[in-house]
Amino acid sequence: MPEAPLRDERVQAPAEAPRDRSASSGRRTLRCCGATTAIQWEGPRAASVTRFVFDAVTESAQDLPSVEFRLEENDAGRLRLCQGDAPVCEDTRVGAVAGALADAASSALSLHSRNGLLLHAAALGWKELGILIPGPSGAGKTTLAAWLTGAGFDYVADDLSFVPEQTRRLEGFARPLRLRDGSDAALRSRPAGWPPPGESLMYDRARVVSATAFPRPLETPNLAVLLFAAHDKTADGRLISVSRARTAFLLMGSLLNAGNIDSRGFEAVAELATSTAAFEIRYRDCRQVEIALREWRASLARCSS
Amino acid sequence: MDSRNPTPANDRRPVHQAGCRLQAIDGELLLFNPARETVLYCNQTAAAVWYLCDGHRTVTQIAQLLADTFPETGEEVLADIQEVVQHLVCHQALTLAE
Repeated sequence: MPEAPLRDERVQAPAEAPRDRSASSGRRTLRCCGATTAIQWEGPRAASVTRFVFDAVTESAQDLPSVEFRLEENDAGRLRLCQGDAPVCEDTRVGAVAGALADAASSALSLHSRNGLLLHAAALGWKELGILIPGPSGAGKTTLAAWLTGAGFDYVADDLSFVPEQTRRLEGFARPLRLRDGSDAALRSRPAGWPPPGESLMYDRARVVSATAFPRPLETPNLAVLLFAAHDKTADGRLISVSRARTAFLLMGSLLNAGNIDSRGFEAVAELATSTAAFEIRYRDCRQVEIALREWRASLARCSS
Repeated sequence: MDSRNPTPANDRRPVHQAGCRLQAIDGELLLFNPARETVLYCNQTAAAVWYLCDGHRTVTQIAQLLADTFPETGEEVLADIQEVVQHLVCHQALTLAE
């Protein structure tokens, strides 16, 4: 699929278009978080934005999409994103459009997700273990996820996570990570040359990094621990056990698709909470969370040996 | 009931609101109100209060029962129970009968 390379937004020159613009069109049907969306694009920069946002999302040609996106590029290099017939965003900047597409896709998933629990949570894999970090917007989930992926954890999701019904599989919307001023320090431990070319944008004072730049799990992890994390400049980073009832209560507050599941998810969330280890942690810096998780895992190994 | 002399709150009898769904876990409670789409979390103390709100006991009697059962609870037990009951009433998990 011909693409134009994504450019740092500080470089103003537009990408050069290939002569045959029809070769830069396509359509993908994507299955994620219990919902199916489709995106149709036209134009080389539209192709690049689509790849940047969705390359880590599973294709599913068989499913009928609940939502259709259309991304087109005109001859002036202006990108126009529509959801159905409704305009979402129109801009020349790939970062703006990529952000709008990721946000619109997240909203669509929240609206149409079913057959499982969709949670406002980051999700990480650690070999076979799945770690779910619920929390509202601004809680630091993305920053924490970015840090932990540099410490040996695999990226599953930073905001929308999904546990299909009658399973413990931990899935999610592996969208690009958007790290604002200061939060991109979470990427500090990466090797020189990371992220690879075309996998990162600067937009609106944020570094946006494609999901494919992060380590991804080879197999879908199984949910093993719930971590309710809060940043606190005075914190000591201790893991504190959370009661199962309180865990269920906190998870209900993070549930996004209650309207699409039986009993608004009450029984399913209670079942998940009663069968999963749960902790609260107040942390001063992300390294404390990493250390706490390693110590927890070591204690788990000691118990099972 | 005389509207000029309403029954004091402590003499009213809290009773479970119909329609709430309940999950009891390790002595704590989750109360789900489908009409309001809200979930309440009750720790063990609040759960004990909930169970005692059977429509027969007044708020004062509930507080006295808990104070007798747990002497270490202190003098503020009535105020604490009032607060729990009021919280549950506000979230429509309880109503106050005369």
